[in-house]
Amino acid sequence: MLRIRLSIKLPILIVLAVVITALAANLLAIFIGRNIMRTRALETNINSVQAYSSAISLYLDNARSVLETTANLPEMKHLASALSVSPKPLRLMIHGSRSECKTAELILEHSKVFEYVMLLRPDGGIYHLDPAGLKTKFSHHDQAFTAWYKELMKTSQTVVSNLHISPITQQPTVVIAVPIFSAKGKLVGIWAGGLKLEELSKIGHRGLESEKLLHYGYVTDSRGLIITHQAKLRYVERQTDFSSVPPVRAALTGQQGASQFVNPIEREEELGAYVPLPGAKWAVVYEMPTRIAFEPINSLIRNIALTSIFLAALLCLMSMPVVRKITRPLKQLMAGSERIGAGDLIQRIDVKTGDEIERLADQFNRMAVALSEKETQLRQHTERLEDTNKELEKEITERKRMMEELRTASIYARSLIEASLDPLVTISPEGKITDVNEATIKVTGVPREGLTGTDFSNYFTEPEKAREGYRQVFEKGVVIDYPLTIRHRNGNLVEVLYNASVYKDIRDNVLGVFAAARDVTESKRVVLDLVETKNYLYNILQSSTKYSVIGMDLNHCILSWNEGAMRNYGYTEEEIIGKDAKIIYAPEDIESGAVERFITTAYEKGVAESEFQRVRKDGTRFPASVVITRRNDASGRPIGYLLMSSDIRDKKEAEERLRYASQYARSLIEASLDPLVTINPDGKITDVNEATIKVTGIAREELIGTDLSNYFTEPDKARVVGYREVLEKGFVINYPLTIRHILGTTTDVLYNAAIYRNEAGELQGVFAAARDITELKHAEEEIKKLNEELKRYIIQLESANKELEAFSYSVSHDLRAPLRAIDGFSRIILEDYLDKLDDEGKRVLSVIRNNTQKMGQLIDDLLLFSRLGRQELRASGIDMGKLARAVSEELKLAVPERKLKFNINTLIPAQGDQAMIRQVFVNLLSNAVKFTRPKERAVIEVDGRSEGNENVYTVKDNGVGFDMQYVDKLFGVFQRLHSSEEFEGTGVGLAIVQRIIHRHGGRVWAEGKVGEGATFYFTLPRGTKGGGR
Amino acid sequence: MRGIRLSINLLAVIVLSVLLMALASSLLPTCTPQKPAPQLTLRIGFFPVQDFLPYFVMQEQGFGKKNGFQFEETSYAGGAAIIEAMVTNSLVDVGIVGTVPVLTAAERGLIPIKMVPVAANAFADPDHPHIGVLVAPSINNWKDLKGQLIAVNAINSIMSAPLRIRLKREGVDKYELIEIGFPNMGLAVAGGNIAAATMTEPYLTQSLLRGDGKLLGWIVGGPPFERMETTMVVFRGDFYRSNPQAVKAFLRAHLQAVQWMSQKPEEARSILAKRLNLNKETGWNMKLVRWSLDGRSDPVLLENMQPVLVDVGMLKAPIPVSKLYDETLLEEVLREKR
Repeated sequence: MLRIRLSIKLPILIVLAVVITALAANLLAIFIGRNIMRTRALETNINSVQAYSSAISLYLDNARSVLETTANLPEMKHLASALSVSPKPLRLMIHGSRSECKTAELILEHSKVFEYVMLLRPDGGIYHLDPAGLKTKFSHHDQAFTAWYKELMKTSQTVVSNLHISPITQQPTVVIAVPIFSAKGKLVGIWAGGLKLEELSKIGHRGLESEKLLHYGYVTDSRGLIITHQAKLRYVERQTDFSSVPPVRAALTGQQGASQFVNPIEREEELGAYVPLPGAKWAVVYEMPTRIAFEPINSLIRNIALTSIFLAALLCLMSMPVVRKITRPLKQLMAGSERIGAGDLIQRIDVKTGDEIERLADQFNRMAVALSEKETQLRQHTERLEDTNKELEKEITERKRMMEELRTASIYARSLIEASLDPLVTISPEGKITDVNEATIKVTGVPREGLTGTDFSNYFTEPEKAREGYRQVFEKGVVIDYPLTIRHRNGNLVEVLYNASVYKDIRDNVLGVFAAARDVTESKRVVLDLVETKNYLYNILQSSTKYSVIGMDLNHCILSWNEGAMRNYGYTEEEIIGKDAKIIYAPEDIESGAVERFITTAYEKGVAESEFQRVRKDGTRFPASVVITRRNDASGRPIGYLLMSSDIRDKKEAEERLRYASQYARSLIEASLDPLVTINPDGKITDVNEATIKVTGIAREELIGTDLSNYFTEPDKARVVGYREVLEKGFVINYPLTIRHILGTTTDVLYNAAIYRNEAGELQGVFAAARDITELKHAEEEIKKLNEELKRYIIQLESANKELEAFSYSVSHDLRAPLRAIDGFSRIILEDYLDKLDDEGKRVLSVIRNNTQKMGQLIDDLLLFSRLGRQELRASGIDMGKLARAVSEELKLAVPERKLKFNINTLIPAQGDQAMIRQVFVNLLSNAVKFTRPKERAVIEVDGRSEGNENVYTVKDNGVGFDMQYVDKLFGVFQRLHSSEEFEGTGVGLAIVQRIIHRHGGRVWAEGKVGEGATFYFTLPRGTKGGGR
Repeated sequence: MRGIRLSINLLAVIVLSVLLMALASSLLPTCTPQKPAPQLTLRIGFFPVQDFLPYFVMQEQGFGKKNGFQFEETSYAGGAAIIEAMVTNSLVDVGIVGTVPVLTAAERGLIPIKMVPVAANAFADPDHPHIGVLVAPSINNWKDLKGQLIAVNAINSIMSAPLRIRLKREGVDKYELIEIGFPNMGLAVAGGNIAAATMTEPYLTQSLLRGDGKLLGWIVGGPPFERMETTMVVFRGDFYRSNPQAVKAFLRAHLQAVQWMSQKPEEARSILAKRLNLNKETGWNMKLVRWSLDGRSDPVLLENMQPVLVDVGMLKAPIPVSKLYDETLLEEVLREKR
């Protein structure tokens, strides 16, 4: 809570009280004042709008009556009648006769409400316009398009138009148009005038210093467009749209009234009154901004606020001395009370105000005096009390100490008595029990109350002997180990030995006997048990046939020899007892001191265990597992040894086999080139092989016990997959990881791992093997590189092929033109100049023609060859036999003189471009026909078979054949194995065959022998549409 | 004791001082004559179109006063009239003028002797169209305007030039132009006085909302002038030379106003609607031009528009752009900003 001093609080309080009161009063006054002012302003506006509306109506009525009066003048009627029947084209005529000019001038001069007047023919054409100066501005001679003209023609009555742009002045105006009727009532003309809206806006105030008007009226047409505005003429000039102003909307719907509203055009709050204009669908509004209407009250608010502030400040200042006067004695009082509170009762508060504060100060002073006296008395009394208290405290302390000692001693003595396991009892000289402990209650089964006061001898099997006992005590003063038997209430007997003595008071008078009984029942039972146990153990030792159990003393002298020892060593008990035990040790063990160390260990530690070679009676040996135990007497002192041994030959042999198997397995693991690791379920390495050491660069000892994931480039991945996933799934196969060598090099591996269990099926860990795939990766990279290189070559090759094809096609194509010319001109020379050429000339020309034709053929072949590279394959099923037969028939027809025999066997249908495959047959068969020419009877055989995924077709002839050493040249372009003189041709045919077959994804080759014919083979892929490029 | 008294006296002095200050500050608004007036009065040529929005913002947001001047406003029919007032009787110090009147003034040799364009004011583009053609309901395409009466605010204005070019391109060769003020155009179309009117905002939107006619197309912000520098800030020549500091002050205020408009476009619209006495609907629907944030003119646009103007005979020959405006003072103001 904020702590403010009274000297500040008081002025603030005073000021606040005044300000709040003033504020509340002012707010109330403002509220009431504003309401009054609003009401008055609205009333004023209502009066004003009524007056303003009347003035506008009057103005319009005046204007209308001026026109209507003049329209009814006889000369106007006469003129209009004359104009209406005039045959002259009157359009564009805007100069009138004297009479209407005079009338118009009079109207403009005297009424001052019209900006212009005009006389119109019934068809809307302007006959006269005044003032004539407006002719430069007007845009239409014909006013028939205007709304007011149309309305007048419709109603034949005077029309007051809406606001519109005058075609005469191009400015906003309102037109009043009056019909002129002839004497017979026929419309003969229109007398119209455009109102001066500026003058209309001046109605209701003097001058047009409109911007300073505090409240003003305005008129809108039926659309809400401003016609007049007393304050802002620019609204008229711009035909500002006031249709969104609430009073305008209300007035245009025929309402009248007053309201406070926000003018969306002025963006100001206004108080306004509105009425519809009688006789026209116009709205008349009179309004006043609230800031103007409420200016007096707003000014008052400001003044009140300032006055309040001033008064508050003044009050604050004036209240200072008062506040100081009030607070000074209060402060003195406060200081005095603080002193009294602090214990200073000598000082007095000196306040002389004569009011309640002074009385309060006096009361404080009296209170201080009284307190001072009381304090003195209290102090003396306190001192006395303190002395007494000290003495009392001392005494009480001493007594407490003594009591405490006594209580402690008593508790201690009683607790000793009660804690005694021996039954204790005190007996009076009369033989009555005077006190017992808990053990006595327990051994007799009688409660303490039942025992006390009864005869001591009652509780023994021999009461007389008991009585005799304590009589002896009284006589001798003491009796020791006096045997008695206590009978329990339930009949059980407890044998005890009594020790008893008399006890006396401080004057040496015998008070009674204190007797303590020692229960000896258990001691007797233990002795019996011991004997029984000894016999039992002896029987066990003697009956064991597998284990030798030999007892000996500290000097190694054999004391006992069981059945097992007899069997193992061959000695009988009689033969061996009393002999030195070294007889059954191998001499070398004795000589090496092993036996001595073994026995010494047993002597020092109580037990020793080892394996030794033992010697039988017949001198043979056997391995034995030996345990020697030191024997102690009852006081723990060593008295000899117990030697137990068993024959472990079978175990040794099994161990040897296991060791061998383990070494074998280990050697295999170590020999593995793959890094192998075992991991425990916590992910720690438990074993590694040499390959692991090599790949990590870390010694085996350092690897074992560490986290496997540490040795991978991605430890998290290795952790998750390396053993967590293995532990969950049981295995993981070929998981790619990268091992990091200590020197930073890495090895990519495929990681395989599986869990392994012990014989009991318990999970032991994970066995993991990593396969180094670095080389594999390199090989893959290499293959990838080679593939990319190959692709590049292929692209280059394809590009080169395409260029070559394009080139050869273009060359071949271009060569044909000059060839045709050479051939053509040669032919012309031969035909037209035959008679002028000698024979040599004719021959030479014939040679030229032959060669050009050959060259033409060569070019055709080249063109075909070139075209094949680009031509699209149109694959379909081909009946190869039918195709071959058709071609052979054509060839036969070409060489009817030849004896040709075509043997065309059944051929497997193929998939491919029929036209191209036809070309293959044409070339191969025509070749066969050509090269069998020397043969009288040519035999050409076409065959086919299916091999693997392709069909193999052969064309075999018995022609001149060829030397196989040139077989590589057969399918090259322009490659010929025979001269053109021998066999015609261009050397392109087989190249075409090869290209077609290759485009189909097949192979082509040939076999032949000179003089023995040739066989051409080609294949087509089976069941495919060919491998066109 | 002395300390307490001192603190009370100190408190009283503080309270009194605060109250006196409050009193003084309260009294100040009621005593406006005591406020020091701006040192300079700039006479601005004005006509109520959207291009004057920076001027309105300067006034409403006090950028003019902050830069040491106030305005004296005189209304004119358009930019050409402002130029005439500037060069003939020195009634205007500064104005916002269309680029076409600036070009015709340059051709007349008025720049830089009589007037100096000092900065670009606004640009039009298809997203910020500037001048549209309002037509009567009977007009359905440009060819329908053949033989019709069409209103422009001034014959040699930015309004008439693109209209004439567009009509020429549309193959309309016979028509009649009539000068009508922007505010009157809508009603003139509605009343049947004219078939079409080239209008700028806010009158175009106002007329469309009022149902005076329909929009045939944009002729600045659409063909022939898809992109155009529309208006420039122009100072009277002798004023420019004798009062460079005043020109710079105006440019500072102008750039501040344009910056403010770009940050508060809705408030800027509101100011425009208020100053042009528009209803709310018109205020929100009218199309606004793109304001030049740095005041720099676009020489390419100014150059490209000239051959077209030559083509329709509004200019005799293209005028080098370098002779059109002087941005020396603008650059100095921009350097100050940096």
